[in-house]
Amino acid sequence: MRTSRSALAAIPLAAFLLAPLMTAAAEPPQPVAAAETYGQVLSEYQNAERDFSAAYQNATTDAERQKLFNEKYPDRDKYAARMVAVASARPDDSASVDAAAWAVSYTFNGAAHDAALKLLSERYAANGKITEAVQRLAYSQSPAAADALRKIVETNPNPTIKGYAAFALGQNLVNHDKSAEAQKVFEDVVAKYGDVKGGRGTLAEAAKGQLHEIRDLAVGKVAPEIEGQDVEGHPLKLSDYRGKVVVLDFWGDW
Amino acid sequence: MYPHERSLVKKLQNKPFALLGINSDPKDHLKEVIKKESITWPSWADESTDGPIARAWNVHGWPTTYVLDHKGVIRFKDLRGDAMEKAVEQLLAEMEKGEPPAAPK
Repeated sequence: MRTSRSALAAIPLAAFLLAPLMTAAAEPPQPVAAAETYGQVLSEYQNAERDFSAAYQNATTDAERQKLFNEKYPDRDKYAARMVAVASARPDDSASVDAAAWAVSYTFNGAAHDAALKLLSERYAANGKITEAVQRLAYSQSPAAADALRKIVETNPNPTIKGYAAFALGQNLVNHDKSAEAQKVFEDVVAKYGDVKGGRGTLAEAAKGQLHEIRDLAVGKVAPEIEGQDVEGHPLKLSDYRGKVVVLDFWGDW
Repeated sequence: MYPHERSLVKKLQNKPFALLGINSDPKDHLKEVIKKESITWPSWADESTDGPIARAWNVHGWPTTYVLDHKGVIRFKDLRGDAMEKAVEQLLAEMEKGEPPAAPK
């Protein structure tokens, strides 16, 4: 399961944001007051996130950072459960789709994630406000995510959302070790939604990149040559390292 | 990242092992980091997250890692820390034993 790769947005995730996501535990939704609104829950979450980030910036030792993590990192599962309650209480309110979309976007698994996924699929698959949510579903660990994405591809009238949902479906299948199925989906993206803007250019380019990775950069394939220069302008060639075990590390200083 | 990589490179300095970076920072910045962090292993200067090598390898998330055996075959993807070190040691052991690596598909 790869949760750290985001194909539509090349944004390096800071380790402190990523770690809790990968360990997100499945917790039952908390009972909540039905009178809450989407805006209230959202601003409460944003404040908690801001407080955490500020405290994290000020922390000077690893022990302090760890303590902050344990005590102050906003529990997204709990906020998602409240979002689900908001959406369920007033399903026809225009903010309810935002609440459900938030809940599937900010969690990867668990009861609240599954409940929000069900709402999204059953009520909001054709909604125009789910662009970000469909992209996040690429990383959903729920077995129901693929079907929800398929339904969005079929029923949503917006070509951008259809295309993003199809692309996310392909990524989701890759993440669930279903590369053969994913290839068909990415071929479909190239054929049907290729012109939609996304990733580094269009969805066609992004999907071709994914197909190349599945076909040519999989475990068991010979690594393609890398030829270029180091920072001093000295030539550097991967094949010169044949005969050695090699770690290729795509890195940046951030 | 750096401390672990430094120790891995040091630990395996007498083994047939190489850590190769593909760096996506501007060159000036890369020069500074190499100096400041005492980075001894080579890196291609890909110069941005949209650089030619990152594109050719469909890399969209950083860090992304690949572990190759001595025949140049991709054996592991996206390992970090101890898991990466274990994978490298496994491949070095395979190589020393003269076990044939997995056949390319």
